[in-house]
Amino acid sequence: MHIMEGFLPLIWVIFWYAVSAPFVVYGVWKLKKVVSDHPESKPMLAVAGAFAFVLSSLKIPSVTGSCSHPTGTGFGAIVFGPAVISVMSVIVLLFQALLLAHGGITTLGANTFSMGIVGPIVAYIVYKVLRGIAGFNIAIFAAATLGDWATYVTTSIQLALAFPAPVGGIMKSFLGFAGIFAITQVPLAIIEGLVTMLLFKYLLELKPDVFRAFHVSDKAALEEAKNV
Amino acid sequence: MSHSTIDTIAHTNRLRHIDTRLKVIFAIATLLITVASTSPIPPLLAFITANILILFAAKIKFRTYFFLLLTPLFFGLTGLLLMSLFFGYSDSPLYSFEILSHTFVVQREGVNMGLLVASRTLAGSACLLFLALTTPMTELFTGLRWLRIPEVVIELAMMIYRYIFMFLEEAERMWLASQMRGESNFRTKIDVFSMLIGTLFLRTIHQGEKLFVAMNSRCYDGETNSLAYQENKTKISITALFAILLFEAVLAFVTILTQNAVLI
Repeated sequence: MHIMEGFLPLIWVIFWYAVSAPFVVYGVWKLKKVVSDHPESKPMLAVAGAFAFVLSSLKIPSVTGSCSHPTGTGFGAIVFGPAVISVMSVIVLLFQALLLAHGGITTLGANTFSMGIVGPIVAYIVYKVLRGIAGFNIAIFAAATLGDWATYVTTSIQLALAFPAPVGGIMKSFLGFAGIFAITQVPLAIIEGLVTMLLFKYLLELKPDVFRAFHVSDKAALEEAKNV
Repeated sequence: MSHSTIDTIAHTNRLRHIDTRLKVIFAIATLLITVASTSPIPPLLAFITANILILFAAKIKFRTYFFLLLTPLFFGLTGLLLMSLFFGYSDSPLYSFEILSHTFVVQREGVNMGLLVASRTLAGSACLLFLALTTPMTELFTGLRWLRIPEVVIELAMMIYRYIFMFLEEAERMWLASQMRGESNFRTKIDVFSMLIGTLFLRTIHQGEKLFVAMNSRCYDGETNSLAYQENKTKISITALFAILLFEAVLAFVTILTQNAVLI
């Protein structure tokens, strides 16, 4: 759910940059620590970032045939943790803006907040909560789906705040934006949930030690890997 | 693939050897003025200028450029449609129509708002594309360093950039292979897609391992040191800088003059 270049007025450009900044600064601090403790994790994180970019340019099988691609938010949140993913998403979003004209520089702050901060945090919390209750597979499915939905609700809120309806205010325009996005995003997020679940299953079957290479992956996922 | 063309164009266009800082100053300043404007006129001016620079100064093919502009165009038009229907007072209808016994009214304020946002999106995207199409990414990294972005982030960005095109090719090959075998129903589609991503991820990781070995054998100790890009050390052309600043000043002046001005 990228907000296009130039869509947000200057005041909201500054606002969303300011809101995202502390998260990203914390992410950089964490990243520095991981990389200095385990130098081998840097090339790993780099290839994973390139993977995220490629993932976003692949077309997900969709019913409507609309332009739809996976965001990888849920996958990233579990593999990298919510802190490091915020830095990675800034980089990937910048490349998407410059190489694909998706998103933009002025909207980078807002897009980072919805896709690199809110989505992954929601996905991470959902995963943590459901893992013990419902099991690994369902937790991952729910995390990826809800992470996507959280991203799209955040984007709708960002658009509604910047463009409140003259009659009905922020709430009315939020419903307008969210309603339009819902047509593609609701089924898309469910598909991405399924894909993420199968992806983890497949990776754990083939190469269970793969997540160890990053040094930031979730501990529960590593334990799951040991059990296979 | 369309992605690699941007990169190729960035290395071969006519504005390639203009100082990176000049191009960045032009793109960012124009962008900021554009998003600050409250009337569609300054964004349209910026859009026209960026288009002239892209098509005539940098001599980029119209087809390639238009294809890249389609996404922002679509986004802008969606915004225009949405805003003309929902953003307005009930006493300024321009046109109304009925779908499924629900009356939709196109409001004047809504159309104006929509035009403003659509023009800003187009102008912003044109500025961004100007930068992307005329400046190779490696030179933009030097600019990031100049902004004091932490070294670890820049290094990560450079490595990510290095692998993007490689993995894109790999992904396309794998996707073609999966298409050749056919996908009978939706379930298989999802299955095949997950498998494709999974395999791509494993190959990526394998590449990462190889990269670490390669870096290690060149005495990697957590830092990649290299000589700074020499080409950027040249002096900025004063005339060009003056022309850019003049343009930005005019654009800012027009923005102030046309505050809240509307087209219809």
